[in-house]
Amino acid sequence: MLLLTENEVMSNPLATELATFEKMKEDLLCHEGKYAVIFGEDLLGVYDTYEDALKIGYEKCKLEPFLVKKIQAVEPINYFSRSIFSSCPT
Amino acid sequence: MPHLTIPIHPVQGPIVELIVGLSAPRAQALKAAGTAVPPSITVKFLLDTGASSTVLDETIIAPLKLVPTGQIMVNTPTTGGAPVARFQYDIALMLYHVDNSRFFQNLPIIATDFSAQKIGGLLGRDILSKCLLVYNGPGDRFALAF
Repeated sequence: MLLLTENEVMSNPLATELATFEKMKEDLLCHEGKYAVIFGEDLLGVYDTYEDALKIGYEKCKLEPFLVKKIQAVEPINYFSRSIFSSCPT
Repeated sequence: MPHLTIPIHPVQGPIVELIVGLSAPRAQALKAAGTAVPPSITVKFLLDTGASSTVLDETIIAPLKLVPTGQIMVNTPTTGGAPVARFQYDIALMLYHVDNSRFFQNLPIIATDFSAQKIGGLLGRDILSKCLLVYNGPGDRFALAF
């Protein structure tokens, strides 16, 4: 489950796409390791690589917001040894 | 294998300049919409083996007209026990070399405020995993081969 910060909830351009992904995630897990492209409440496709997913996203959505998300049962955490974010970021 | 040998900055550490631009698909989308493609920017990155992925100073987001196309969870010493969500942006990076530059055409990165640190970003292990890094502390130099 993605945890959005308060500010991101207020002005998250990908809020609809992230909610759509969460709704579809269980069904998408048969494609684990691949990349989903979500536009609004629609799944545009599942692709083997980030590059392919990004290309399709821009081709189909142009400059409208869309989400590229790797399909993973457990959301991985990216670690940074520098204190580059606070718990309540911008 | 092309490489750069660079003095270690006495305060900031191992700094390398990279050229940051739009990912190819985003540049094409802007062109198709009749919108000018922002020029690439030279950015000072700190090599950071403690960073899972590459991070860009958020002041560079606006001039490149970047918009988020993803979101990941991150944890740092100040986020406490709970990771926080951060937007991902897609960019292109170039490690310049006079004979053989290395391009990373579609790279997902996150952004934060580095203004106080006088750097433009962190070059994380997503890129370093494709390079050979030799940190010569006694020699005050590092070498990055790619």
